[in-house]
Amino acid sequence: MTFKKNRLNTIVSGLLLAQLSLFAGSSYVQAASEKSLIVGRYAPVESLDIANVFDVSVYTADQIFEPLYIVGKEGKPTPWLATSAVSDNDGLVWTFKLRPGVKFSDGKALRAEDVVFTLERHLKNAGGIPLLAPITSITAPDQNTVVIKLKEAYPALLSDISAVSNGIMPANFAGQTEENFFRNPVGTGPFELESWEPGGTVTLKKNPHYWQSEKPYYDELAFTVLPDENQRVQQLLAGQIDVIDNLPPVRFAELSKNPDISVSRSESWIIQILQFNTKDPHFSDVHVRRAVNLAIDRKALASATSFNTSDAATSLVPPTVDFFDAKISEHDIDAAKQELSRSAFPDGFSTTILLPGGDQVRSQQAQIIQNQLAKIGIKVAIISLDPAVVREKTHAGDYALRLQESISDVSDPNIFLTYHVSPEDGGSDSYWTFYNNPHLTSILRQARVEQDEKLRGALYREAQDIIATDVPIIPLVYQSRLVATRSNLTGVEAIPNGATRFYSAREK
Amino acid sequence: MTGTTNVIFRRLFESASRAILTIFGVIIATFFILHIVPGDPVLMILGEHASSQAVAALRETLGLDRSLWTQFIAFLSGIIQHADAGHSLVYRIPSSELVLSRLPVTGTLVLLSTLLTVAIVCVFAIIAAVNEEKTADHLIRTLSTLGASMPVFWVAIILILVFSINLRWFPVGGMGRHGFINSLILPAITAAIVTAPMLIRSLRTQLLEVLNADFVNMLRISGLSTPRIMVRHVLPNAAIPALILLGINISGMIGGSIILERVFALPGIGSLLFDAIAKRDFPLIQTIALFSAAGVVVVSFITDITVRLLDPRARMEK
Repeated sequence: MTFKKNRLNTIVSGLLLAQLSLFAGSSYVQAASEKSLIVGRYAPVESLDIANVFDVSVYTADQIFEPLYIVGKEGKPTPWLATSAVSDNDGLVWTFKLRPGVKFSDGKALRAEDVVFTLERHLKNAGGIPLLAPITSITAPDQNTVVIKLKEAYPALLSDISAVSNGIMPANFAGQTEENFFRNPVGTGPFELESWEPGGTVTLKKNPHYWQSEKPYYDELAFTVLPDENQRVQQLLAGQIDVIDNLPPVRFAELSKNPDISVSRSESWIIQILQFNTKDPHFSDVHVRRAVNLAIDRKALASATSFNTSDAATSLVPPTVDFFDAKISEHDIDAAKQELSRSAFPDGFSTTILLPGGDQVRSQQAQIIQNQLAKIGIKVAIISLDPAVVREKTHAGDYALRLQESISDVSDPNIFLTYHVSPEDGGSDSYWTFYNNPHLTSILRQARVEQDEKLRGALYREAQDIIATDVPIIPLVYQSRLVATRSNLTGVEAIPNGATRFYSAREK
Repeated sequence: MTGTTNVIFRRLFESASRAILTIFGVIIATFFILHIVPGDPVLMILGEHASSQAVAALRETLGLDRSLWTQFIAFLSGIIQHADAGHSLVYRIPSSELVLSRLPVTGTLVLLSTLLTVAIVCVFAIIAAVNEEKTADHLIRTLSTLGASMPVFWVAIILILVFSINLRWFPVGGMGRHGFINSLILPAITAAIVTAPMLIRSLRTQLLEVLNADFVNMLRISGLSTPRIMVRHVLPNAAIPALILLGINISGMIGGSIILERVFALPGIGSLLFDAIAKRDFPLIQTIALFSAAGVVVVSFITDITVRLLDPRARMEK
């Protein structure tokens, strides 16, 4: 060919070079604004209606709305928008004194009628974390006092009031419609809403009227959505985000060695559990459930799947929740075999374990359980499905074993235990295990109203005994809260109920 | 000329009716497939402990208690009367509003990757063609085989490791403290790396065929400059098969954005779709399906027209 290739080559190479230098020219420069704090979360906020949401949504809305009492760093109900709460001798009338000088982010003062409005709405709504206290009336005798009257004594009242769902909002949504209000919410919290891309980043800005003077130290707090765990950690390393408040355990050791990152491990009320469908032909037999309980080596499971960041569970009640009582059943294959021989299936059987797909921790747990149950003749097939399908199957009772995680929202065990083992009072058929022990239900009902702390403790110990004997649910792991921040950041508070507070966060 | 115009109009009409049929098919298929697939949006909204009363109440509020047929009729009339596939079940705002708010990210990403792909393809295919069977040609052919065999997410991770973590040229992902285009460059390069190889090979083969054609020799003899021959005569003649392939690949990118946006944590339509499917947000999924079907139809329409403009044979075809 006589084609003038050389000339063409020059042109093409020139183009190629220009292309390359264009990319090099647009090099990424880190331009972190010093006054804004970015938190990477795995899911988007669905709604800011604090009384009706869970998970990421509620832990964002709680930056805007605050309750009368709050779950403190150590987990105890701590005076917040109220400075004190006193009950009469029968425990039927509770008087809350509001903190003077508290203002909403629109500058209006917090009044008792706002509290009445909020709590009454939550009682009616019963979404999110329902207010289960037997409240007969909520009144405001004066601007700074709220009186809650109860049908029967309810010692867990302060603890329940401290649940995130009870964040206070202005009476009648400050004159807006409910729908508009939650798109443009007004609360007493350290931050107020600046912008919200549905399904994406929620940006909050400092509430200029916040009652704790000078706080928060950041002008802006953004929650960005990074579903991919790897992406979340890489963005933290690159300084694109400042905080990961639910660090995957597999990353803990690696990040704790990195000088740019600080990691912390603290108590949480999250517990990983194995649920039995007690309507299943095999697991309706208590001996089978006990055998499974004895066959699982929880210590090994906990340390392997949490990379030594969490401990094996010893009761359904997390250890920092009131009246926790360790019920240790040691891993014992022989005892498990004996227990199984007392059941209707002495030679074992085949069953399934249900878990959400894409969940690495639970998938490892399932494999360990599969392996350990094989030793006593129970063959387990792992079924990993889309989370939406897992939930539908569970609610329909269409499963045998399920791996799940559960969280106590408050420091009192009443709501938590009621949910898990009291079919009618909890509203979810003993958390979809369909377990029903009338004796246990009656103990929980007594404990709920018992005012004497010692007697109440004895009742909850008995309840934990019964749960450990009947094994409707096996507590597997007490999951620690792992938080990673850029190392120049201090004051991020990780609360055992899953909340993270940023009002004290500041640069070192 | 009138004959040609007529043909083009008839072609347009044919394409339009095919487009409407395609979109209609997508609407019906997504609606019924979604309702057959297990998983309940109400349970996803209300959470783990939702009581059956609360579930029933919300199902009624959202109109999910009606028969499948009634829901389908309501859905169809919504689309026909208001061009609206309904409110998102999770966010309770019009689904189209949500999708439109994500359109700039995905739209720019697709556009950027297309431009990049075209540039890469033209450059490499021409180098390979003019250096037939020489080192450059072999190198490009080997590299393109390599590129074609790498999965999108893997390329993405490698690029993030090299350019974001080690070199710090680009953000790791997301749309936070950095510019809009800056966040899209690496994802666009990823898409281009995966899309370009096939097109390079196709264009190279065609270029060789055309370069050896008699008319090129004639043009050269008549004294036209080499770049002019290349740009005016060789490329347009050789580009048609690659162009058709490009159209198919752009359509693929619209659907493939779900992986790319997830790996790069981009708030585009793909990540919105991912969330919507996880929560079984039916109207939102349907709206996204509708938008991408429309996107695919538009792209294939443009491809069709371009091919016809470039190729006199296709233009004149009766």
